Amino acid sequence: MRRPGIFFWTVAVFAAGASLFYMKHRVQSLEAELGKVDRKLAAEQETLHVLRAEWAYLTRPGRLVKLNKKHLGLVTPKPEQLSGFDAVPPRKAHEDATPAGLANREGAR
Amino acid sequence: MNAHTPVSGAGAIYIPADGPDRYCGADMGAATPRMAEGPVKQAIELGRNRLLVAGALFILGFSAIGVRLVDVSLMSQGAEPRLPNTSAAASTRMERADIVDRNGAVLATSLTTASLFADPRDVLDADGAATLLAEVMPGLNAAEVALKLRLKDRRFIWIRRNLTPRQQVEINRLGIPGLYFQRTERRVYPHGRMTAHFLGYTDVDNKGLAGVEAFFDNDLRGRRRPLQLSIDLGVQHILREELAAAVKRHRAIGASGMVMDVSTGEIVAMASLPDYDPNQPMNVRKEARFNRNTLGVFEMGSTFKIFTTAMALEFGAARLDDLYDTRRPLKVASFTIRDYHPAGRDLSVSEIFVESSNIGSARLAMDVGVKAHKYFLREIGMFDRAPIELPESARPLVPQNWREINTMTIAFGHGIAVTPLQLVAGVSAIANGGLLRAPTLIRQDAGVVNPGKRVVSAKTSAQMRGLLRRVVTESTGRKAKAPGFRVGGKTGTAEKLKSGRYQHGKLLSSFVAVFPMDNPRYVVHVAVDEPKSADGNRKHVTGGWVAAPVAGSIIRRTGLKLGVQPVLIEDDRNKKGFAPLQKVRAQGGAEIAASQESKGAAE
Repeated sequence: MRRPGIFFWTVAVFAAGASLFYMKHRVQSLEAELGKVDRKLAAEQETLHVLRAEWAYLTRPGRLVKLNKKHLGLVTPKPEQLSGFDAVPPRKAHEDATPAGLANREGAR
Repeated sequence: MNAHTPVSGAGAIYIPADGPDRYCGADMGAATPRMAEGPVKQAIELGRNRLLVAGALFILGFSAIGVRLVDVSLMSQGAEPRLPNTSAAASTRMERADIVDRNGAVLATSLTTASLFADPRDVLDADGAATLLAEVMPGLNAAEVALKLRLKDRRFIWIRRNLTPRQQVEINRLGIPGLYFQRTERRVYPHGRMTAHFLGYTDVDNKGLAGVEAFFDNDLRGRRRPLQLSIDLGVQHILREELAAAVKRHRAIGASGMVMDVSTGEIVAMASLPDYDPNQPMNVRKEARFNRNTLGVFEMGSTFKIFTTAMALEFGAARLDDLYDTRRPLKVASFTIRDYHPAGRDLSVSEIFVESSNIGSARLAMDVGVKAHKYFLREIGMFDRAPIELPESARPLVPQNWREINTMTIAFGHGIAVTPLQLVAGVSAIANGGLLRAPTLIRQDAGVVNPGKRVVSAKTSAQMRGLLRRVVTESTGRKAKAPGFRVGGKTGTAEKLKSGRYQHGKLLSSFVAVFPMDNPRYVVHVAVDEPKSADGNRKHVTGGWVAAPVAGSIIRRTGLKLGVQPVLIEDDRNKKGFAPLQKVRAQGGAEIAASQESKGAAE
């Protein structure tokens, strides 16, 4: 009766010890990895912060105006280029303006 | 073996029977099981009880420890934070929050830099170190640094703050013992001069010294999310550009401008010239740091007639078509009030405003009375410092002893000096239906309606809108026209006061514009300080010639950006180079017809 008990507990103690050792080891290595990732994250965030500042510097309205003049030549829209919804003519009753309807019409033509 | 006979009952004690001398208690009598009695029994009872209590206590203690052990090791949300997490949180957090504009563009941010300090005790060769450092960092005084490095009783001296990364590498390469880097933050303003006056700046220790940086100093240190201002960077750029062009054109000593949302009180743009680079705030002239919009108090001139006329209409002292005698200059005591463009006839209240008659305005104010005049100007905020999120907000100069003559001159904007910000807040109240709202530099949530304080009735406001519009369509403000944006406004030309005397030819020429006039959304104010004529005509230095075109240009360029729907009305349509909407549509129709025709021909 006694022997199996002692045997069982001895095995249990060794198993617990071994698993504890293994666990601790794993936790340590994971924690080191976490620390590494956290540091990387912090570095990335700092880079992001710097890039945001640089973006703000590069998108200065004055610089954009200059770049536009050089490459695009866009101008401020004139008021007459804009119109409200009330200027759009009402849709005719029989017209089907859905994409399917328009496709049908194209096909029919 | 009857010795093993169990004895039942509490307090019973078993005494083995065999061997009379071998057992404790054998001398007590017969070798048969029996109950212990008397003091012995009591003593044994006591021992047992003590044992029980002690055992229970131990079990309790050990199970508490066990429970706690499980709690700490398995349920790992202990109060103590894990180390790697804390280090990450600490390193990403900046000392000072960013400031962004209403669309989220960065206006001010903090960048990490390295600063160089020394521990003089560890420095071996002070002179050699100083010479080497001076080579790497131009502008460093080698002799001074050598002197500092010899202070062996100190353990910390700054050598240079905010190094460039290249300098840091080079200093590292020098390998001088006793030099160390400290991670510091530096405030950076990517837009430089453009945003200088309202943002302000910070000192080397990142403490806000002016502008929003100073007003929200504690808040910026504490918060993690950026502080969002009401400023629109695009509008701000256009405003500053137009002001700078006006200063150049008129060889002026300065200028100021503002754009304010009349329904929320938000300042969308604010610029003052001359300005400075907040990235290098320490060697800047005093005039450049001066925010004319909030610190400058000026006699505004005719723009004040907006308040005089609104007040007369509001208090029922006059109606729009009542006539006033404006034929001759008005003499009061030693003063003579004249008109810039004498009409030579009686003018109605509308005409007094539209033609900007000083005489008529003075008479109008007298009809309202001194007491009501003071009351009205107090109500509309002309007596108090404008409430704004800037430490720089000046108190207006209001006459101590307010007599009739004060009312008469203040009617056309002389004898009281206010900041442009006060004027803009007051004018937006007159234009927006009569509600005065405190100007603010902080972006307001779209859903929240600022109730404001009623200063004039909706009816008076509507009448004033009509008058302001007429100034631009038919009188002094013609140059502020912006097709589609229904601009209204009032010109102001005031001689500048210096040590108690008006200086002839030194003017503050201003224009306050409101648009669109049918449902005002924005007030634009432009003031140019001491303009000179740009075309040789000495008369062309008034608000109408100098400031109105600037306001018009700002509105033309920013109207769409500010979300104002342009409406082309009759008087704008006659302008050159404009095709009416119907015509455009007609052309479009013709084109379609033409393309169909060609298609038909192809088939």
